[in-house]
Amino acid sequence: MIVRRLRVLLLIICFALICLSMQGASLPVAMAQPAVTFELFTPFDGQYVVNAWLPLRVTLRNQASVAVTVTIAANPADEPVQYERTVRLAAGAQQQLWLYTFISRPVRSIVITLIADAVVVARQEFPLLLRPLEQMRVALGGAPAGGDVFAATNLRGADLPDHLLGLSSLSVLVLLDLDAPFSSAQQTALLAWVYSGGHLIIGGGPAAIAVQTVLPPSLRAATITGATVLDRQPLVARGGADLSQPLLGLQLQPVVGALPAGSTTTPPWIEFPVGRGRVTQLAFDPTALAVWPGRESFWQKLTQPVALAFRSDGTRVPFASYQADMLTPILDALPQIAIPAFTQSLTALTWYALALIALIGGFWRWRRFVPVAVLVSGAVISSVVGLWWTTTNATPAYSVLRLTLIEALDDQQAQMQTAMVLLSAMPRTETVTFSNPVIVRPLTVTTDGGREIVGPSGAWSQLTTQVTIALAPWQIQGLLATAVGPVPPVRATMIVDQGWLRVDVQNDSQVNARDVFVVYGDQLFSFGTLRPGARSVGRWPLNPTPTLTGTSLGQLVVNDLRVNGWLIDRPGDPTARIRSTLIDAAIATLPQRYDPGPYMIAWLDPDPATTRLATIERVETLLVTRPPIRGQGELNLPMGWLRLDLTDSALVSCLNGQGVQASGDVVEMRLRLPAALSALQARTMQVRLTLSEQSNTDSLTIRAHNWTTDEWDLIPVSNLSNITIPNAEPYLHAGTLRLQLRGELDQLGCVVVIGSVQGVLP
Amino acid sequence: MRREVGMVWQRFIRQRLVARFLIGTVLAMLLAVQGVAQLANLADLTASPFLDTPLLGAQLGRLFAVVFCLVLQGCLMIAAPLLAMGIYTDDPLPAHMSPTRLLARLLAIWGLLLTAGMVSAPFFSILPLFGSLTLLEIGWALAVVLITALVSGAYSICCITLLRNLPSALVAAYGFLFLWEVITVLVATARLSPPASIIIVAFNPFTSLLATLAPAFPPTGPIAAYLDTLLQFTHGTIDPALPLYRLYVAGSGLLILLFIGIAGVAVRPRPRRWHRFDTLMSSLGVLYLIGLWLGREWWLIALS
Repeated sequence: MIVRRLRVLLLIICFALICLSMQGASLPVAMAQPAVTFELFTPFDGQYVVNAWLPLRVTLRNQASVAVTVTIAANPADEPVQYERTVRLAAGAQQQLWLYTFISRPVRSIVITLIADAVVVARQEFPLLLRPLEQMRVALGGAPAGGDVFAATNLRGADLPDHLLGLSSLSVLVLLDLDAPFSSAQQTALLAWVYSGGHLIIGGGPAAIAVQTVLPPSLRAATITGATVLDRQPLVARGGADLSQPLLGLQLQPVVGALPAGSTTTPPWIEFPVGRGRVTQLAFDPTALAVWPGRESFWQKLTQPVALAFRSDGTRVPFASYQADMLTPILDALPQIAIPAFTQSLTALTWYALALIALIGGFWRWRRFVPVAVLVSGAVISSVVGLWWTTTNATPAYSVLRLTLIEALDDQQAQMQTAMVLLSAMPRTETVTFSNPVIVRPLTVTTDGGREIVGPSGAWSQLTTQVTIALAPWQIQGLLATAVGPVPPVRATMIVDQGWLRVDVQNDSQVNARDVFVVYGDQLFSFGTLRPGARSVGRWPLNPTPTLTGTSLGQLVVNDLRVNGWLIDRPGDPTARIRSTLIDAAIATLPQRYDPGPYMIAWLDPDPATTRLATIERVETLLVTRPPIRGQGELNLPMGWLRLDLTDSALVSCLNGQGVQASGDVVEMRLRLPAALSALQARTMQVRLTLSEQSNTDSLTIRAHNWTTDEWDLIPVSNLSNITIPNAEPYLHAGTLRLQLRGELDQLGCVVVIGSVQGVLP
Repeated sequence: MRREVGMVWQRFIRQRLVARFLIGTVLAMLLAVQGVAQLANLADLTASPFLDTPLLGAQLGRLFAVVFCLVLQGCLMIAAPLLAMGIYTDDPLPAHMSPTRLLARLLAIWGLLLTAGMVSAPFFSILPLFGSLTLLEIGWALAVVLITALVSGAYSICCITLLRNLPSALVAAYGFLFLWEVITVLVATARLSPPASIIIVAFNPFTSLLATLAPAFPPTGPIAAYLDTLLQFTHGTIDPALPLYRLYVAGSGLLILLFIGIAGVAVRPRPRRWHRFDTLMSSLGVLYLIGLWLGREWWLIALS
């Protein structure tokens, strides 16, 4: 009886037991034998630098009989971030690809995961070795020196990463020989790396011509015209040991802007500044120094990094990281999203409530019941109408700050860095579309205002134009995307024209170039806004006012925009702050680098590097190029073109960063022209001295170095603000004027010196 | 069964109590809207320290959502025992009642609570304007409100059926509700060791409701302070990011079945024999338990 009554219950209990037993029996499916394998190669023997990218070359093999989608992922041990690349691998195929991993802090190893068709088939951990950035020198085609000078030697051409970021951990790259020509991607990577501050040294051995031909033209420092006996003095000076036997090598003819070391006719090497970096073309075969006692010392001194930056904590970082650091103060300048106007909604809801109350009250008094069906129908209709209206008029759900810096590497290519900061009020996923394939890394910083910007964790696909970001609510999240792509065709050229410098700016792009400036040092030349297709020409201004206050270039530009009414400060509007900081990051000066320009800066609108997002964005896109100086003949360079070179370690720079803090009895200083004008033959020069302290300068004497006689010649001075050097040709060599101040220099304070030159550009 | 429900429903909606309940709910929602709107216009919200607060509108939108959900849930919870009493006013509690009639009354109460939720729906339509909530978030918040209404209805019917005396049942129902709220707040603030404290706190309907919205509460800004104060009462020391609502949703189904089962047994005359109703409830209970077991990963995450 009881069993009959409980039969349904018993049936259900039996069903439940079956379900549970089935669930318990379902064991995880065993993984099949991996048909896809990988082989890893770390070009720098697993050595890495903090705040730089570690390149990994992966060779994938598919031994299966069907095509497989393969994802290779790398993540530094104990880090929540993963960098990955996905490829489709045909049956029996083999593919080689580069994977780049950003190392933000010291790590002991990196974990590589191979995923084939969404199944993890292999996971390996590779040990890493931390090395200071300044010691990350590597050599291709042999080791010119032993000891610990080089972190890795005997690399082959194929071992060189194919992206700028893969080289970011290197400070110096020595290229002696190549077993195979570089691919175009490797060439671009090399150019971008040198431009960003890398030091490329090219050997002068038997392979010199072959090596030169595989380099991008922008990296060719000299043309090889023959063979000669080289000047040994620069080697002896660096090696600290006598070099008795003659040194045979190549006869190098420097390109415009390149400077020979030692003799101008038989230089042992030529230095060619490219962007923030340098190419050193050797004229000799390094093996010729194999038994020279000064070899180690020579290579230690020659292979010095060019553009390393210091962080506030004293660590040395690659220039790109330094630039990103400079942007930190403005990264919290997210655009405000105003409170939406909801008064209409409130009014509508009030009317709805009153109508509902009237309906319920009326029906109840009239018929003594509540018309539930009418109420529900009314509520549904009101809700749908309300939802439609609010969705149509909804405010954006997230706020975005996008700062893009486009630096032209040459006429064709540019490096694009986009710092993106996003804040959402709700969890959401956004896809950002870039014009060129990018490599993205999370950006984690604390701004000056104390706001924390957190880099989103998770997997980042590399070399893709679509970047998907999972936004956590109320967390300011940042990322940094780097790409190399075609340079926007907004070009500035400086032309020697009828004895003066003419600046020609042409906007051939499809976007507006706003607030275009051509700058040199602290001199600005404004061209206003150039619409697509517009061109503007002007002669370099004659009477610039040099700044003595240490105002940064960014601030100078912003002040100029303010004065001309092109930038209006509004309360709470950080546009001026953003622009000045972005300019200062783009044209960041380093204590050890003399690089006053000239530059062209222009704000591109709209941003050609990314697609707009469907929200409120603050977008600033800065294009920076280095205008070439073309032409020949008579040239009058206005005051300010000869500028103090403060990179000399013997000089004490003033706090304003513009002059020399004079002390003692003698101070020697160099004034330099831009590298492109180093061939200028001066006829006369004018020099202007500005002193921070009003003092008696009667005892002050000024001498100029005569490069021909190698003596210091006294320059007659009547007025410190206008010192003329007639017959100036022997005093200007390779664009450099050496001045010597003698007297009671302690009274002078800060001495700022600028000059002008009249001469001929051959 | 349908006829029974129809009859109970028709009698029910003719009560003054029902009209007052619906008007009261709408008025409460209107007051909530006006209150938050007043807050939005306060000088200190747009004062200079908060000028650079990003997404101030979204913060306001989240405050709107929280207040709406809390007010609606509060209205339904408070009204449920009264409505349960009201449903017995015209048709006094008999000595013995069939489970069908019991269920009909329960369905009528649920229907009215659902109606109250429906007439409040237009107030929620304002939320997309501020761009601060995902559909999933507000969906879970409304689901918690709905489940609270179901639990409250079943709980109220159970109280009345067990005690049989309407005033006593009302006092007992409100008394226990109040006591439970106090206990959960005390447990939340007393730093008791999990998971016991989490389970207790999760069964505070207000805590579970806020658990759907709290993970995306703004950390700074003027509105964040209000919301943070609220969390101090509901969550205390418990991480607001824990999805306590999952535990609540999972457990509430069991509670509803339990309340109905107890009430179904209590209305029958002694000696109480096994009835088809018991089989039905047991079957549902077993099926529900199987469901809970199979989906344990979903709700157990709240205890992690």
